[in-house]
Amino acid sequence: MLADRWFGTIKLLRINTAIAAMAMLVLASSRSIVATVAAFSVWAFTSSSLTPLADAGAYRLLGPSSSGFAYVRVFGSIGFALSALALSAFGVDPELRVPFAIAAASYVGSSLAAGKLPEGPPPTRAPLAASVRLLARRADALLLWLGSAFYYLGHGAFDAYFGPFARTLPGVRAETVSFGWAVGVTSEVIVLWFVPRLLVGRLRRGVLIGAAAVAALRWWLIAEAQTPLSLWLQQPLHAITFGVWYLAFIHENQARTDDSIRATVQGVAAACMGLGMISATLLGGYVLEALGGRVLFRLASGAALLALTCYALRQWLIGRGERRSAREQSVDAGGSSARERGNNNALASSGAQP
Amino acid sequence: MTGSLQLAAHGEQSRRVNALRLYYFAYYGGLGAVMPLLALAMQARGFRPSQYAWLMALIPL
Repeated sequence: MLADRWFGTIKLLRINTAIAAMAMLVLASSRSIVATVAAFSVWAFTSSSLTPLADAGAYRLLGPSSSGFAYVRVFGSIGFALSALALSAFGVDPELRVPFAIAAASYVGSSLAAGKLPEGPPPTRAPLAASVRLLARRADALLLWLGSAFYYLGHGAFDAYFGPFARTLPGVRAETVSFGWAVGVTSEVIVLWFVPRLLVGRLRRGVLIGAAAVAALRWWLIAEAQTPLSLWLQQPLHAITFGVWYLAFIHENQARTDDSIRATVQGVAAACMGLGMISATLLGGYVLEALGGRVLFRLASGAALLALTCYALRQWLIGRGERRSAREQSVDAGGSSARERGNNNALASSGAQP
Repeated sequence: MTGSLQLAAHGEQSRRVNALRLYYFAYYGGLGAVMPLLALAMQARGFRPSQYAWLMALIPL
């Protein structure tokens, strides 16, 4: 909303990326508790907006085609996989000073790249667009957002606690955790090339439901993993549980949105994901400490099933609406053709030509 | 004339798309360096899971 109404998407993107870079630099150079908490908070606060702002800017630049977005977003997955692979190959210091420094440099690079992007329409301070209010009243949009909050309740547990849980298995080091992530994100890169074909036509409708089913399975497999190998074997499912799900989620949000509120709608979507992630992170810390990682990932699997229920209900609502409007159209078409026939008969009986 | 204008517009669009690719590559490259190990880094700095949970919860904010 700040982007659409005050700053402009790209300007806010550049400012936040630069602040995030400075926070990473502090994390790389200081290990005191106060500096860690302060820098982490600043980084978290600024970086949370970077993805929705960049995605909104991307949709504005590329148009509503999801395939264009997928072929650009895939470069993010490539960057992620290369970083994680490089760290797993070269090793990391326990306090992550080098990774934090790499992140700072990367953020500076991304801020410079953002400077080459075009700004959208001038920010408007008009009252909140009626279309946002309309969107919020639509049951299918609300179910999409609620389902995605549940979805990220499960995924957030993975994002935050996969590393500490994996380290509890024998023979797993920090580098092998990075390697596991790299395996997952590499498979995401491969799948991203094919996703645009999934997001067209009738197949698109089942993508979110399918991703939630795979997520439920994946978190359950992690919970039951006994060896590092069984933990890494499920990692390619990351392609579906994050890559495919994320593109479908962004597409469902952006497909029926106009340019003036793209960043706002994307912000609402990100807020729903964020709600799930905050809950997962906060509850997950206590669950991990008190009950262990296995219980945490079983609960994550349950959250994915709740997401599946919301997505299925949404799809049923959309299908019902479409069937109703198709019926109304056929009744309208039938009525107008009956009227035409009636007119023709009247003209014929009066001897006039239609 | 129209052809060269179209070509220039296409070139400009392609530069912007490349900038966007670079943005995603660099930003997620940075994230890939820290995200998998963030919780482990906090543990190494002396935080317990229930403590760094409050820090990690700030990420979506």
